[in-house]
Parts: sequence; C-alpha cells; structure tokens
Amino acid sequence: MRCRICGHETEDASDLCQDCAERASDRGELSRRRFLGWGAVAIGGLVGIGYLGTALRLLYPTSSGGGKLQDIGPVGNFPVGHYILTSYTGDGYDDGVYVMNQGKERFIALDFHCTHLQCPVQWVQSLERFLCPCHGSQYNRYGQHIAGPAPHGLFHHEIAVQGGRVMLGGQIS
Amino acid sequence: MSEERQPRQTFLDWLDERTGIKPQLNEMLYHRVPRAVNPLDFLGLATLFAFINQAVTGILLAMFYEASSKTAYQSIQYIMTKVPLGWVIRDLHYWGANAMVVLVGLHMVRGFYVGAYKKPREITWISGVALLFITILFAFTGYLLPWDQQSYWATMVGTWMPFYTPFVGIYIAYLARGGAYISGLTLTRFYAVHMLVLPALLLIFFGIHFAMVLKNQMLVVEEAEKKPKGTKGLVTFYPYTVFQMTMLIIIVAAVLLFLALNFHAPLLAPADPLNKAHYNPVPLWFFYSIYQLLKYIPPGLDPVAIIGLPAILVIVLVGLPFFDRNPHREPRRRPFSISVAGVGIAAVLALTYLGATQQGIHVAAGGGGSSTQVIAKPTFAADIEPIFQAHCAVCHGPSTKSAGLDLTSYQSIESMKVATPTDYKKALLWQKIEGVAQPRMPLGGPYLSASTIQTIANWIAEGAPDN
Repeated sequence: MRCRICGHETEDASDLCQDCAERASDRGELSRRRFLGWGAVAIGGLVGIGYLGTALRLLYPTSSGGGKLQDIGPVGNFPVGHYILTSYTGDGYDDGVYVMNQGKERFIALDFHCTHLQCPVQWVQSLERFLCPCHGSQYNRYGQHIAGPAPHGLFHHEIAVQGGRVMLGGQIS
Repeated sequence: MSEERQPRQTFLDWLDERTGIKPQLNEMLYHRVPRAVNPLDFLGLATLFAFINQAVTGILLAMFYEASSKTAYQSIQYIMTKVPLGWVIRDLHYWGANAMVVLVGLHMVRGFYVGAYKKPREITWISGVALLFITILFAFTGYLLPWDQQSYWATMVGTWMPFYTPFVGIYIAYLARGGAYISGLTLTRFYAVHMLVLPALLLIFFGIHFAMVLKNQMLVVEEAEKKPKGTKGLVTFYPYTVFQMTMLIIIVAAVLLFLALNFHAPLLAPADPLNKAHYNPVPLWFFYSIYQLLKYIPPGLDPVAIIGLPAILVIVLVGLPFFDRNPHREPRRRPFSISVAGVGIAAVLALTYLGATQQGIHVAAGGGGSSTQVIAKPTFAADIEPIFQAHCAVCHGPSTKSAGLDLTSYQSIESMKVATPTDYKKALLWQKIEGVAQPRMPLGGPYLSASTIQTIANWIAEGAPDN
C-alpha cells in the first residue's frame, strides 16, 4: 500500500508508513523527535537574534548631538538684526545654524534644516523669510512655519553669551 | 561487454557522471522556442546584462575609490582625471545604473501587460518585485558615494523619509545615517551596503527568479506550444535564440558605450554641510514623481504620502498575482487592471515631468529669494567666496593652485590681477567664466549660471573689494 500522508510505499498493509505513523503519534507530547526538531530551530533563532542584536548595537548611533556649548566668535561678529549662518559640530557632522543678534545680548539660533525633509533653508533678507528650496516650505524671521508642507517651525539651538563670546549648543527639540 | 570498445568518454560525460548535469543542460539548450521572438521578451536579459556591466565596472571603481568623507570626492576626481580610462568606467557605471532602473521598470510593465504574473508564475513575479526594490536601493546607496553636493543633500532628504514611519521612524532614520545628520559614518555604511549586502541579496533573488523561469518556462514559449500547428515554427534555444540574445547584448552594450562616451556622469562641488553656495537639492530622477507630489501634500498628511503610498505600492506589487483573480491574460479581457495601471503610470510620468521642470526656489512676487538671483552689491566673504569655494576651489584652491591661482584667497586674486579692471568685460576672471577666453571655466563644465556670472561681474565692477 501507499502511505496516505507522504505517498511512499508502506511495509505492511497499514496505510501509514513508519515515519508518518511516528510523526502522527507525536501529537501533543514532547517526543525525542519533536524535541530535536524544535531545539534546532530555537538554537538557530537564538544565534540569529544574537547577531542581529549585536549589529543593531554597533550601528545605532550612541549620541544624537547635543553636548557642550561651542564658541562661535565674539559678539561683535554678529551685527544686530542680521542672520549669520554658522555651524555646530556634532558627532562627526557639521550642522548649519542661523544665528541672529537681537541686541542686548539676546540671540536666536535656528537650525537650518527644514523640518519637512531636512533640506537647507535659506534666509532671504528681502522677504524676511526662510525659504526651503525642496518642497517650498517657508518660515518667518523667528523660524515659525508659515507655508508649505513642513510639520512645524525650525528647531532652535541652545545659545548664550559668556564673557563677550557667543556660545552655541545643541538642538533643542 | 568488456570486450567491446567503449565510446570515448568526453569531459561532459565525466562531469555528468558526478553531477547529473546533462539532462538539465540538454533541456536548457535544446528546448523548443518560437522562431520569431518579440524583442520585448528580452528585456529581462537586457537588465541582466546591465547588471553584469555594473558588477564589472563597480569592481574596477572599488579598486580606486576611497570610502571616507575626507577622500571620497578626491578619489572620484582621481578616477576621472588620472586613472587611464577611469572616466569611461565611471560613466559606464553611471549609465549602467540608469539603464538598469529603466530596464527593470520596462521588464515589469511588459510582464504586467502580457499577464505573465499569473499562475504558475507568481514566484517569478514576486522575486522580480524584490529585484526592483534592490535595484532602487543600489541606485540610492551608490548616489552618495561621490560625496558631492547632490549626493549629500539627496541622501539627507532620502534618509529622513523613514522618519515619518509611525513609532519607529526616528530610529530607522538614525540607523540609516549613523547619527543625527549625514556624516562620514553614513558614507561608510552606504558603501558596505552597496558593495556587500545588496549584491548578495540581488544574487539570491535573481537565483530564484531565474530558476522559476527555467521551471515554468517563459510565457511566450508556453503560448507558442499551445497553438494548433504544434511544434511547427519552433526552433531549439541553442543556437537560434542564443544568437538573438547575443545581438541584443551587443545593442545594449553599444548604447551604454555611446552614452558613456558622449554624456558624462556629473560631479558637482564637494559636499558642503552648510550649503554656502545655495545648491538646490534634487532627488534622483526616478524619485522626481514623489518629490513633486510632496509639494502638494498639506502639512500633517506627509506620513500618508511618504510612508503610506510606498507601502501600498509594495503591497499591490507583491500581492498582484493574488489580488488579480481574473484568469485571462489578454489585455483586452482585463479592462480593470490594465486601466488602473495605465492611470497610475500616466500619473507617475506626469509628476516626473513636473518634478524635472520645477526645481529650486520660486518666489512669485517681490523679487529676491531666488537662489539664482543676481546680487547687486555682492561682498567677497558672503557672496563671492562661496561661489569660488563651490565651483573653482577643487583646482584653484590653497593646495592645488592651478596656474598659480588660489581663488579662495583674496591676496592671490589680487596679486594675479584676474578681477581687474572694473570694466568687468576686460577682467580675465569674467572672460574665463563667460567663455570669451578659452578654455572656459570651470573646466569641462557645468558652467556657472548667467545670474551667478552677473553677480561676479557686479563684484568686479565695484572694484573687486575684499569686504
């Protein structure tokens, strides 16, 4: 006869071959066969998860910027009422920051990446606006979102004056 | 038996005894195929050839390329100018990449049109969809490697798109970049993915794709066999079809070589994280449609457009053989799926056209704002030097000083007297960038825009001040 499960010739008149009969009798109990089968899958899975976890730990950035204040020059370098493009050095990258002296030692520092898809916005003095060259987002002189697809205004950076020097910090979200 | 002379054993017999390859080989070489073949049936082969071109030129480029943010750009310049035939290899790789995207797309449209995704070829179709996305990832990761302005900013935008994924977006974006923004870490991981991960994935899915084509044979062959005249008009695959395939490969190779010799892969100014020269970021051309679409999406709906639409596209493409229960293959008898696909393709083409023609900042009224705006009273530090940095400093920089001129140093410009007299049409600098004096600068192009040239002219007319 032929086995009704796998189709192989059976040894006797039974309609199950020996392998399939053993497998069928396994149901519901942890036989040696099932233990070895699932054991192999589980060990393989654990090794795989181990590699994956190690890879993610290795590849995921440990810090996302922030950190210490950086000296970007004397207050005199920043004429009142004008945006100057400066740079904040993060973990291996340079981040553009528009800095404006508002007078009386008050400064505003706006991250120059559009909040939509991080294109570099440009300060256009004649329009008093930041314009994004990619999908047309616009921000007013305080970085507030006024047009286009950006979800919100430009990010601010920490900024302070210490001993006549302008000190720029990381992004404040 | 032992007394009779054995026929001489060939190498193939020897191999067959050990591997059992002969029946498969015979099946492959001598299966019967229609004599007249539609060239469109060869689009898959053309894609494969484009990939082989990428593998060969890519390996050659890797032998000279240096994957670091400090050296990548210079190594590309070195390949283009110093390595014998290096520029041809780079241009072949560039055009091969574009050809692969086009050919994969056409192959897919053709497969859809003739209904080749239907039973029993579902797995052929799904592995083909995987190959399409692998090809796009190849293009996206390869685009960053020259580390010029377009690579840097296209990758900045591209790696921020996953940010809009619910819950895990920021983690995916940071993982892709290796930090908060694009840096040398992004470059090295893109290089590793481009060189190691994607080729392995491509070979796996190509293996599945090809095995399924062999197993289920091509749709045209199946249909030719079903025709009443039976095996009449059929020829063996080898040598008839193989010869046609060789002809096709020669055509694809000739087109790639023609493009490579006549239209060079661009290399813009080196990546500048502060974008001082106001470069307008644009994506790879096959992303123009989504680039244009995003301009129309109101705030708040971006997750739908950036994540939702591509996710739906993946589901539709992968699930197509299962969603489409219509048993017919003839396009006439599949009005619904053919018209939906037609509208979709038309929309993508229209958006691609708009995306190609509407780039950069456009301010309707009030003048100002255009990145290509002429600056009436430019200052050296804010307006002129960034132009020189972006377009000239590679050759006329502090370390290179071609012809003794360093355009990033005001002293050098002054002592070389290139920006005098104030009648700017007599100044060598203007004559060179305008093309009045040959060779026109920047050498080999792309040349400066008319408005940038006018800004420099205005600066010269002001007496080329160091302000």
